[in-house]
Amino acid sequence: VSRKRAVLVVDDNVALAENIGEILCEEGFDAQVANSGTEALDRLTSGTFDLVITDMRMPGMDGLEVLRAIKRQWPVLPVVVVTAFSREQRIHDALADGAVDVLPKPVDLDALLAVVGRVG
Amino acid sequence: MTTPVQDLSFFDDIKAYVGFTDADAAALAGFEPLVAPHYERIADHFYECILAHPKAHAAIRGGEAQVNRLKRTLVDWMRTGLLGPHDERYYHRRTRIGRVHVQIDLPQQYMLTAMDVFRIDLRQVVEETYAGEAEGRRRLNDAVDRLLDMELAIMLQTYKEDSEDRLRRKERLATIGQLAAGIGHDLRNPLGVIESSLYLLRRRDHDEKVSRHLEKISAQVKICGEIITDLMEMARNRPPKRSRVDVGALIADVVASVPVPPDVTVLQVVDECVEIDADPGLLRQALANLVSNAALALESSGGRIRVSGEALEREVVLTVADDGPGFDPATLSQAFEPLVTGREQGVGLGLALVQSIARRHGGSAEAENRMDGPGAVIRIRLPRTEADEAGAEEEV
Repeated sequence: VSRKRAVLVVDDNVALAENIGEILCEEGFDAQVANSGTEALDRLTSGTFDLVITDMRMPGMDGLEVLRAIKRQWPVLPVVVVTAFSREQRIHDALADGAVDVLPKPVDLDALLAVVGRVG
Repeated sequence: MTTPVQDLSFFDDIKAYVGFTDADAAALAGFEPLVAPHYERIADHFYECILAHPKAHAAIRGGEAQVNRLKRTLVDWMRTGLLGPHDERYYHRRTRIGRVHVQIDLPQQYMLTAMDVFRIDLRQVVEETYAGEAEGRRRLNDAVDRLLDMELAIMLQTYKEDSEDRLRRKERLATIGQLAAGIGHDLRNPLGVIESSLYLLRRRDHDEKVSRHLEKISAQVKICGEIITDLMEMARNRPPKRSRVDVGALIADVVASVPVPPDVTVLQVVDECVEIDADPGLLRQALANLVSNAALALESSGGRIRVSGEALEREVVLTVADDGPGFDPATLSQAFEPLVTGREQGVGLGLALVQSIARRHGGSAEAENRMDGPGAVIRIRLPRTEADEAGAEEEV
């Protein structure tokens, strides 16, 4: 039996991260949550993940910094960025830095599941 | 001596000040047929002076076609100015000219200088016509001076009122914008949590009552999301990204997506193949706001909403009319002011956003109550193409 695909959900909003994690668990993923960029990097160091979903706007390390740190250490790990920034430059930056997809906030959960199903 | 000036209207007051009498009006009306042959030449000269002056020229962005239209408007202005009658109706028609000057950003000093160009030309006609009659010449010159001074007073007054309105509105929008961006961001997160919790709950089987309420919560959360989107859109005030938009398809799309109560019917009337160069997302948002407003107005009574798209020579007019209670006369004049609403529940952003979107496209929005019965009518006028934009402004 192949192991469940592991997804790390990074969002400083604890309740939102938990909900997205719960939805992913129901979809058959092994989802874990981190509430900051540094917590995310700690978890990535101690575990194995197939996909990271990170919010853009977070105190401390923001989503773009998380993305860049991941790409330095785990270049092939796919990262999906979720952002309420509608400024195209931010979206462009995220894609240029290696995000597999950028989803707008508020998150369309069906769209999120579709992306996770595709890359996770 | 005391004069009861308080009761005079603005127009009567300035008429009294310059001493404009029926005799002046009669002299000007008698003079009109003599000036008529010179109208075209005077209009040519008038615009020659404007076009020769870079800062005044800047207010005219529509090229030769616009100048030709403006010349016709000016000839009409001369004719009606000389013929009168110089009553309140006349005054109200004249006030629109001051407003157009604000719209096109014509610096105020050019109203005075341009009026002098005109005054000198008119005096010359008087001199030529009444060469041998000193008394007739003086009478007519006085009448011309009085008339032109009244015109100036009206123009400057409405210019001042409109600029002040514009400034107030701008300040208000800037404040709202700052607030909106912050609040919008902050509300998105809790709403996201509610939405995702609902998503989890709706996937399970519930009894009828729970399901019904989950749907209600979900619908209301969606409305909150739309209010936030409107707020953020107001705050961003981004310039339109234009592409070719099929107005019929746009209307059909909006009507299909905005929920209306079951006893409300929506009628779509669109001229064949109406197309416009506009930002489809912004236009869609403006129309959705209008249809949603109309649906709310008909919530308790039921009724009809008519959404139409009509192509005129240089503009497309989108109209949303309903047969609800219409605007309260007290709020009608402020219908597009942000934070003004006729509803008990309502932030008062919808119409402000509609107007802001219309203006960003170089168009305008109008609100009125229906003539043929109760109900509200909102019209969005948009230039068909970007090139039509400059031409749409001087239609007074």
